[in-house]
Amino acid sequence: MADSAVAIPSAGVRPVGRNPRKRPVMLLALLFAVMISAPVFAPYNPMGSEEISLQRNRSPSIAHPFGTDGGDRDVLSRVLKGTQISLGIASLAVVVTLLFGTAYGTISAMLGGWADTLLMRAIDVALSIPRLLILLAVTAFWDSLTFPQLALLLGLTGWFDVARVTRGEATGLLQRDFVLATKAMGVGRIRLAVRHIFPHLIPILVVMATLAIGNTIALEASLMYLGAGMPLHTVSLGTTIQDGVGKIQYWWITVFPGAAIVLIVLAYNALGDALRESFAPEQVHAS
Amino acid sequence: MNNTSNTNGADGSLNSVDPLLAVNSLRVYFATPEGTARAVDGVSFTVAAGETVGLVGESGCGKSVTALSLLRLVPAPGRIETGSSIRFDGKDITTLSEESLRQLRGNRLAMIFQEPMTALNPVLTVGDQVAEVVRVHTSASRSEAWDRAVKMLASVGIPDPAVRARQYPHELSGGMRQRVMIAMALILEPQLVIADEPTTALDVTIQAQILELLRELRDRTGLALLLITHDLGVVAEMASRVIVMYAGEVVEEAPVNALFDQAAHPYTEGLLAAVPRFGEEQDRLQTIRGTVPPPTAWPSGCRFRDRCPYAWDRCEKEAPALLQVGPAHRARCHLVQEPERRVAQTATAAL
Repeated sequence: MADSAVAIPSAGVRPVGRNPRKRPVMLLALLFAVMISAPVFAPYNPMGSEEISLQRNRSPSIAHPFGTDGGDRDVLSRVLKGTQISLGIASLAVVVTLLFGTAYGTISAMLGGWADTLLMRAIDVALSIPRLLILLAVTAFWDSLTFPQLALLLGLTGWFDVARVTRGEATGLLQRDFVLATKAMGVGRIRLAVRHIFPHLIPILVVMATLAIGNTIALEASLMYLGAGMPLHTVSLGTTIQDGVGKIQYWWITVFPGAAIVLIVLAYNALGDALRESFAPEQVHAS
Repeated sequence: MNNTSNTNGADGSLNSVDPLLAVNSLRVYFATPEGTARAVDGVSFTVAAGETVGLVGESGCGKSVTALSLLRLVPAPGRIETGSSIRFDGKDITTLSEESLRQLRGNRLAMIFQEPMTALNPVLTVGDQVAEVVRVHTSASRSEAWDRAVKMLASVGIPDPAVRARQYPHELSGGMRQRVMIAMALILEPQLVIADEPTTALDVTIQAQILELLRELRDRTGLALLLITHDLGVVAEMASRVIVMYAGEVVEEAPVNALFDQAAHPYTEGLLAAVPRFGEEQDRLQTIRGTVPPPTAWPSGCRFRDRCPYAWDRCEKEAPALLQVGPAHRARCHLVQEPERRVAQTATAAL
């Protein structure tokens, strides 16, 4: 493994910012910080406001850099607010994903034998069903979902691959001598998992979380676009895109929130790759 | 009182008190694609309280698997077969509940591993790892456990223990790491410590220091030590009794002096001859020809016969029993009954 890697003089964790190849990541991160703090900067009320009534479907201008939509609303304000909501939902969903995935994967690895095989085959089955399909099927049961409910649903359908990766890592770790030594000292299974195995999983979990946030934002936007998530008057990137459906002449209503999604997903993926590289350079180059 | 059956203790070396550890017909088999590997195949021995016993043999003879089975930590697919018994302090390790066993491990029965670099968790400080043993077995608080750990690190000869305790394993030298392992194993003053090749991974000068430390701690706390090694020099220095293993079986068992004076089994003879001696002119080092056969296919009859300089037709047909040679001295060899064969062979060799 190590010799197949491109020579990197000092292996181990390197600060992301000091590497010139990571600068795009820093730029995206900055952009993104602006979006998170957006509601403060949003020029207008994203739900529509008095001062811009009767200004529907205006093309981008100085007053409305992203234009306005069919409801007299400022698209820039909607994109900023939508980014905040989308990010919030995705972050919460990823927390749920990590909790379930890590627990399931670690338990599977520690059980070993046929139980491990069974649990992993179940994961294979779950992964073979398209996630959007599961979500559409499940959300069909409710007229509308609240913010935490949607986050929970996204999280509960997203942990399968985290479980598989965690199980793989944990299985490798459990073969190591220190695990045998720890058991020989009378440390129980729970303590072994939490105190001895879990810290070794953190780097890979951080990378997976970063990549998962990007994916979840895209997925959440898809759901909203399809009208399966929260009620339509909720501001989110997906619903904002939805507002522009069938009105190609008012392209700004769709293009700006779409670009925001692309940018966020790109930023997260780039960050994930950079993190993966700084945690384990040899693995990135070998694969 | 002596309930450890006739095969054990019939030599009279044991008094009427139960030994601290009594292993009886221990069999550990591994199901492999090549067949069943009989890594440990009917091993019986005892360790009395406070006694130091050396367990000697080549790589692959089953000594490490024996050690791990004493803690019931044989890695899968290894299995302790039914009929095996490991009595420790009146409890049978093979049938104990997982929780009772956990309470024993590291507390009454501890193990020191060969490779302190890999046996310590790289992401926890050494102080945390020593303190953890206290935490899982006593009701000590976090800070009490930490204080005990620091004290223990001091008593295994780690300078600046309060500073060292906050360091990670990679920040310590090999000798220091082994001292940490010893601190972990000994902090709760267990009755028995199993040391699996505790000095093999270390420099020679450090080896002597570590052995000295083990001896000192043993004498101070009165623990029993099962010292697993391939190094007869270590055995001579530390142990009072030696068990020699070959191909999953005990082939010789003797007080240390008797073994060095008059090894009864040709394998032990070979091991002793292979130790280079200072001041003796030798053109080349003595070796035992061949290697240990694979545990999936032990030879019929005597398992050592392929490599034995004395082997004759009886060795192929009949597996030798562990026979009494002298007081507390037994060997698994037909030569015990037919000593003239050894003389004849030695004479031929001299020609």
